[in-house]
Amino acid sequence: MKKYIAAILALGFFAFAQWWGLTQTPSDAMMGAVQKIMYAHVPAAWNSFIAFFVVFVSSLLFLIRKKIFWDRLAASAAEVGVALTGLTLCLGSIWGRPTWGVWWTWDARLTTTAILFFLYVGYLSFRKFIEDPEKRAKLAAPLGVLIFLNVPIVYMSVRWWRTLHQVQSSPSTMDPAMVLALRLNAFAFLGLLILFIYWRYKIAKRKGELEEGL
Amino acid sequence: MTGVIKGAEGYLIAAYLLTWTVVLGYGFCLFARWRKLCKKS
Repeated sequence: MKKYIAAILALGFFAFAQWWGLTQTPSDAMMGAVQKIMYAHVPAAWNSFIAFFVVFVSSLLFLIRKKIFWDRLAASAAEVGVALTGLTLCLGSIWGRPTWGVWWTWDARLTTTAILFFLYVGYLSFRKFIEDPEKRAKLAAPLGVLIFLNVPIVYMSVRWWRTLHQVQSSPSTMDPAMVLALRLNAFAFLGLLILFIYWRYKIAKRKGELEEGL
Repeated sequence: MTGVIKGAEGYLIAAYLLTWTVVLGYGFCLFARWRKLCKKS
């Protein structure tokens, strides 16, 4: 029962945060109710950055310490990060259709995020091609460090290239009720991120043990 | 309903349905894989 408690708590808090965002916040003066997509879109994006930061740090630590734990953690975080980036892109597309009139446009933020998504899909695919766990870890670690360079580019893209996507909002430019809902959802997504990385790491560890015949 | 954009509630519902599908779907897949591997000796 103990192992289910974390999952129940994370999912329960997520459900509460989503309900709060949908029902306890005002609608945007311009966009109306559709703006509430923000409470899923933005936290998913933030947490995908956290996941990719975990990949970056774990890859660096593997290069320094050569422990397989760090390689497994990097692979686990990359997979969860890809799922969250995919969700971010799809939610952005659904939000873009009624507000911009298009499902997709080659805006700087959208394009750099799509590149980020495919870089990490490439990282995961690259890992699948190498069967030897040691060789895989040695080759994947520099890649995990290198591709993280795109994350700050994605973050800064709205400031460097002024295209369609709005720049980052700050608490001073938002209604306090919106700020609270956004923070609640950010922490709710963080809970799920930790849970999913933990489960994915357990899978990677068990697979490794089975491969070694332990 | 406030806002300039009217009748866009369908997009909001679609977005939240997608979010829950990804969270529950991916979460369930991970949990099932974990359980399956743990049972293997």
